[in-house]
Amino acid sequence: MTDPTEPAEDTPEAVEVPGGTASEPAVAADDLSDDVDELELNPTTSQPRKVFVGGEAPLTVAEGFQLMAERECRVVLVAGDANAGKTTLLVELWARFLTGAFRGRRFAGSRTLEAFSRMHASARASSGLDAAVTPRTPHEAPQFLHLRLEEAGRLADYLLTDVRGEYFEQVVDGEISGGDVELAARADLCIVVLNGDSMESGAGLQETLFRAQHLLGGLLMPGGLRDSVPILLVCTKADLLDANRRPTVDAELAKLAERIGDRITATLLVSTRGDDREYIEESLGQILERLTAAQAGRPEATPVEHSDGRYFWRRTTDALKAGES
Amino acid sequence: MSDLDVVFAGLPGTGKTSYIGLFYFAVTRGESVLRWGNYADNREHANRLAERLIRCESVERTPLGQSAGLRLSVTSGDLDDALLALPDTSGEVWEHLLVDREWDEDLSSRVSRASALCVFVNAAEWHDDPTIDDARAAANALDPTAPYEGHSSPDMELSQVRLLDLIQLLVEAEPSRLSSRLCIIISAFDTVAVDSPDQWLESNAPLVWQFLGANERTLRWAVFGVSAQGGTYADPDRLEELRQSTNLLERGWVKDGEGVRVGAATPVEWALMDE
Repeated sequence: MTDPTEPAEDTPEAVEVPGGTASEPAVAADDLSDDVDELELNPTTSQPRKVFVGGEAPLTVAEGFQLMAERECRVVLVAGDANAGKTTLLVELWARFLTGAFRGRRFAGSRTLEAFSRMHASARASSGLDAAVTPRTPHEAPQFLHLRLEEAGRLADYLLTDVRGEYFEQVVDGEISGGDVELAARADLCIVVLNGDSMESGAGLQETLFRAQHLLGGLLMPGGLRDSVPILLVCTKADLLDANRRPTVDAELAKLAERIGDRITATLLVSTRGDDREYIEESLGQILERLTAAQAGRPEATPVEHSDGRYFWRRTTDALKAGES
Repeated sequence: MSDLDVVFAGLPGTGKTSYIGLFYFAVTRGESVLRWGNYADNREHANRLAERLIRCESVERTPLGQSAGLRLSVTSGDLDDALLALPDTSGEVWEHLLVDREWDEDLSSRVSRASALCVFVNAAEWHDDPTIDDARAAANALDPTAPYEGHSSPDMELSQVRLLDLIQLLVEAEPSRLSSRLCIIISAFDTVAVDSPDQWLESNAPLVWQFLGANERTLRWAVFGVSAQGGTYADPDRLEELRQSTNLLERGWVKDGEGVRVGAATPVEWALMDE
């Protein structure tokens, strides 16, 4: 008995012919020639079509925009230098929900669930690593991680950008700014992430803040972040800073915020990994509070209305072939 | 006659086939609101499953490529005559979907038009995977002087993420699915310490539990705990006890979310129930 659900092999299935199969002909070879030609010309005729599903990788910008067309989504631009901890911040925020509701919010779904899990795999004991790491964001193009949260019966969708730090170097150096920065104009919240690990020394602190000022300035150029968009200045890896150093860093962040003007709505020193669980909970709680704060008063995410009948699925075999040709 | 297609989904070894045997036995014994219509259906596969359960023999996993399952003509007080289909799809097919992110259009179409979805998990093969920070803290609590050394377990994946991944793919396969019914069946429930399947799911799969609760305005769901065998066959004493039972429906059992014992066919009945 054949199973229509069994994944197809690379070779075409045997095609039924009168009295047998193509591999066991029961009629004259001439009678089969047309069928054989048909097979050779169109070898996938009898293969079941494949449906490819997403979820294992971040959404492309196009997929993110498609989601925005379907649902009210809040776009969060996460900016910062390479190795600042942008991806770790997002992944650890997701990971809070692995053990239950977090700060009154419940996890309500994600179109990048498996992507989150894969990025978090190297922070789990099964990885065999002695310390958690986050793989570098490999893609040059911006992409999105998706979170759907529920708070007090209201659903809200968040698209969190996962962009390589190298991209923002161009903003720091003025090669691109404002409207050139993909997704900046679409952002509803901006989180500028600074690497706390580099702030232990005076020079390191100064350089990090210098670069942050130029990044912020570039993002705020015309066509970039909209006037109403709140900006969080977040210093990650605070657990790596000496406890006596933290007040200094905090004060310098506040000075930077003053220089930028009233656009910075909060400066935070956060820790996302390590032994100080209370600090980690508080850190990520602060981020989550600000992420969800501006959701108040916005329309609730509604059940999906599909224009093409289904979503989440990416493309069928036929669509893939059409795209290739 | 209408068609009632129920999709049984779950990774290999999650108890789908065993439950089909138990469910079928319950229907044939008249212990279900679904009344068996006639003896004309092809019952070979289902009979073999039920017979193995009765004999206290482990039910063999469904090989890849086989999807015999169960097709039964049924009636009930609320239903006209219907053909109930419970294809016994191999767990490898579902694993292929999660790992390789693809499935045949035939299967995705079947999911799209299914009357009900039942997702299976095996409580006895459930993996947690703590974070390195948590594992180190636990190791330090035992011996503060010993440095933490990680040990790789490449086969270990967060079971709750895999379960939720499967649920999301199934419920989002079809837009109208967001307002239909999802049944989560926890097999080997005799191996767990808690009485309530709801409690087990909340404790062991908090992410899934949140998802279900957060979406309950549109997604009707219920959790059941099942012991199709009634206990482990690996323990010779227990096996002998089980063999003394004269009624599979007393030996094998099903509990609703709160831990109350219900009929063996209740999960499927619930999944097919109209509002």
